[in-house]
Amino acid sequence: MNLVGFDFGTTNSLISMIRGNRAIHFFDDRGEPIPSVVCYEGGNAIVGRDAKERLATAGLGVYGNIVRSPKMLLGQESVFVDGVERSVIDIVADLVKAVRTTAVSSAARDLQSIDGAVVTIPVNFDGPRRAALRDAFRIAGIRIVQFVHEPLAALYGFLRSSPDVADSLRRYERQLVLVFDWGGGTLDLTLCRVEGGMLLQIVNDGTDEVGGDVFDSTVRQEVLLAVRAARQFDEAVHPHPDAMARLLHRCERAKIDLSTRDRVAIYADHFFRGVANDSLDYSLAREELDRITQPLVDVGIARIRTLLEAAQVSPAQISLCLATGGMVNMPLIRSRLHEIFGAQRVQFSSAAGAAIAEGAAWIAHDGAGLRLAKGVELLLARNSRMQLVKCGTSMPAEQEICKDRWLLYCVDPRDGFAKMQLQSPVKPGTRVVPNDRRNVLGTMTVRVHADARPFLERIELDVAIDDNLILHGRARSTMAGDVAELQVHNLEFGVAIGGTSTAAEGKTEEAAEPAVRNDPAEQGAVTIRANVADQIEHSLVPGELWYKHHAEEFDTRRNPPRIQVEERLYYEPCSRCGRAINDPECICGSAKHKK
Amino acid sequence: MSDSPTPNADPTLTTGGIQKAIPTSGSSLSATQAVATGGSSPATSQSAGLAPTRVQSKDPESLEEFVAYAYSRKGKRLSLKKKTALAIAQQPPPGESFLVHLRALAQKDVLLTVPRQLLLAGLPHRNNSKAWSLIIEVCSVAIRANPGCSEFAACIHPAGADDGTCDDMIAEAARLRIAQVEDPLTKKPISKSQAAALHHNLVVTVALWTVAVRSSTTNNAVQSLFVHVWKGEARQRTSASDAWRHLLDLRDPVLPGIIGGVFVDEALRQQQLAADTTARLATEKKRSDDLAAELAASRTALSNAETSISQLQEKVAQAVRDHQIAVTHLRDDFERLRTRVLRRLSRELDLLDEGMGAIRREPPRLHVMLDHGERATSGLREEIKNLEREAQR
Repeated sequence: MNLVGFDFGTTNSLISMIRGNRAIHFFDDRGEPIPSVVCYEGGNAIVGRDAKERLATAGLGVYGNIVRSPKMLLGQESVFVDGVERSVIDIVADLVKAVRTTAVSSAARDLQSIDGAVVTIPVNFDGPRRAALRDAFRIAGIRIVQFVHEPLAALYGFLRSSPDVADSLRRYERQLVLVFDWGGGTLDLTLCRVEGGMLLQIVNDGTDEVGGDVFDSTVRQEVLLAVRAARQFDEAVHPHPDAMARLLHRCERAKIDLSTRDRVAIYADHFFRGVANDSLDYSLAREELDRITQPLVDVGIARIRTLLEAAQVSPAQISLCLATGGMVNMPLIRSRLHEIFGAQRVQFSSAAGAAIAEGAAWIAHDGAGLRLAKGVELLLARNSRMQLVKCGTSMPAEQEICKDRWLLYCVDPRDGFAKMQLQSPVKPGTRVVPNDRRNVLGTMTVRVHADARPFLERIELDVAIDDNLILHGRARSTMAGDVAELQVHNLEFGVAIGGTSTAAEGKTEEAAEPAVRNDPAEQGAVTIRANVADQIEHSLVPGELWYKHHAEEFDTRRNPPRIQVEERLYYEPCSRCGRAINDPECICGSAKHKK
Repeated sequence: MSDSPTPNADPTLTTGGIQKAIPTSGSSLSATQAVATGGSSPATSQSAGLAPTRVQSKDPESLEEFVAYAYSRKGKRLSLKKKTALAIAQQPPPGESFLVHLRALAQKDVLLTVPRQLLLAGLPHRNNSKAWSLIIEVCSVAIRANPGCSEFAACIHPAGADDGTCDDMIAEAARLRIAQVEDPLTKKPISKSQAAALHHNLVVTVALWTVAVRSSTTNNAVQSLFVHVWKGEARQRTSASDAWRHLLDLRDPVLPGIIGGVFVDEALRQQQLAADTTARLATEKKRSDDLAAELAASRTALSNAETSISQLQEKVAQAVRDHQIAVTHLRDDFERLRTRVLRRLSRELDLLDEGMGAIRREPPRLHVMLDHGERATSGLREEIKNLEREAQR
């Protein structure tokens, strides 16, 4: 069974496969990944390098008859390409078909067929886009066995292809690893934790604002401005139609060469129209390149700091920074990474542009299924939590779904709604304590009868995770018959090196320094008061409501729960003026009133 | 048995009882006859009914004379001299008148005492086939002519007409129930004892017939007689005194000697057969064990061979897989190298082309060519270094 890794990248796409403990990359005829560019000419779809060479501008999206990185368009029904409305799924399918054909028709590498693929996706690729991507692959004749986040795949490939995997895992056990994937189109970051041979995602970030193409485009723009200024060209002097594309490629080449040289000449013949000397001739120094790209690099580096701050992790806590993607070869970026993490902790992937595809291929080879990195919990009344999906749960394979149903009780229906909030711990793994900080995944509210007694209204809660890694929540109140639904697309996952893990079964639970500082309540955050419970426990009911229905329970001889007594006293109306006891207009108990 | 006809009658047959029988030395047949006749003497009973024939001292010279002589002996022992046998053989075949005469004589021999004597007398001359054939024919006609044996006569066939085994013939004769037979002389039915004697004479005549004509052995005939006749009669004498009475009445020790000898021979034969069978069984068992051991060894060897084959097949399959993987890796290495060098050459060639274009422009952009040339050459040098480094690995 030929299972391959498919890096469906923003800039380039590549298929890799493991044969004999080594990754075989199915490059194009120039030995490079296939550019994720589709060009429609005369009803024909031109894909890859030929399409890219027609492109004169940087950025993602549709440019005339060229679509660059069509996967970023997923989620839209259709786009207009050169005035023709085309389905985004079909465009993606055209690209996938071309990549598949390149791999299968590679005479030198002998791949007969592709039975399935582990497909990498950006960390911010939401559920509907995953579903659309699955459709596109189906049209192209490839079955998606599993999705995996790109940085996670890169880290998996880095560790799996190391000479001694066990030693690498031991070295990074319970350590934090930052994956820094700066490619031609996007910058993706993932903070992971290695635990029990399993890679667990803690927090992800990604942006397409500072991709490598943006660098090339910025350099081209700066060079053009400098040349115009030096030759005192006004706005009337325009370049030839194809000149900008040629200049973009020369700037890209100059950027690469400046990693080993101090200065390069950028020369483009027949560049300007209507001038005697129509060529563009500019000498670009590395310092100037650094100056031009410094803001972009700053933006990228700032994403690292932002990510670490969001996870409340200092750079010193990062044991390994794995840098992948073509951009990390820039000396400026390298020096900045060394500056933050130190040269010892920064590793540059040797696979460069094929690191993600190689990681996906290793995952396909090992059959390493995705597992939930953080459990999914339901917030219950009085801030207790019920685990809905355990951490380490295996994610469903293709055409599978894992689901479960819970019956809940509404403990306080006075406002007419039952509120169910899904949360997940900030910290991955199974070593989560009640006071750990939680992220809110989503909230469902269903209408209930406001006059019903506590525990009378029952709520049916269905939770399912489909093969597109989307969590579906559906709540229904049995008496009121109201239904609320919720989808969570940003679940975080882990993958076990070699397909086996001890962390999923919770066998490696030991006391260790928590990666994230516990902070139960974020300051200024708006929270909801959950009013559902999974059992009939009267202490969960607010005191004043319980008193209304069961006053006898508040007899001191029965030793009622203190919290309920306090709630009853606090929220019960003033016996004199009838106002709420915390109403500022109630002065019945004040000295002034006594006078 | 003497070669000349004995004028004096067999005492066993003439005195009319075993008690009066005097054993004749060297005559086993007469002893057998004496035992077979039991308490009553068929010869004695018969003597009254036969026409008196004078025994002549002259030897018979033809078949007719010999038959007449035999019937004149009334069942007593007789013999056939060689010259008589030759004379019988040289005679023309007997005519119908002889057969009529013979049948008349045979019908008078109610107790069937003569045919067995004819057979016994002719037995030494079996080499003279013609004489022997005539004697058999005579006996056959005589038996057929006997009024008590007419039902059984169909079973008597010349040699070669094998309608059943000798044992079957004796058994059938033993089973035969003699119906009422009239004595041609007295015109009265024969007595029970005579019927028993006739039945016994028939059985022993048939037994002798099987030996003389069907080439059965004496032992087989005796065994058949024991099984079908004597065994049943002995079983009726169950008490010890009865058995001892019969044993003490025994005057001729030859008969039990013969019978015992037959069974001793048979027992020895069976013992030998059992020993041979046991030995053969042991041999076969040993052979079977050897074959089983050989089979087990062969199976083990087969299993080992199969295991070895499967291991070899697995090794071959693994070697094929390894080879395919190695080929794939080599091809991948080659492709990587090829495309890398191709990319490098293309890139540097593009630079040089661009530099050449810059030189051709007016004014020539020499610095562009210098820059591009340096970049191209440094790139090519770097590639050469890479190739040299990889070659060293």
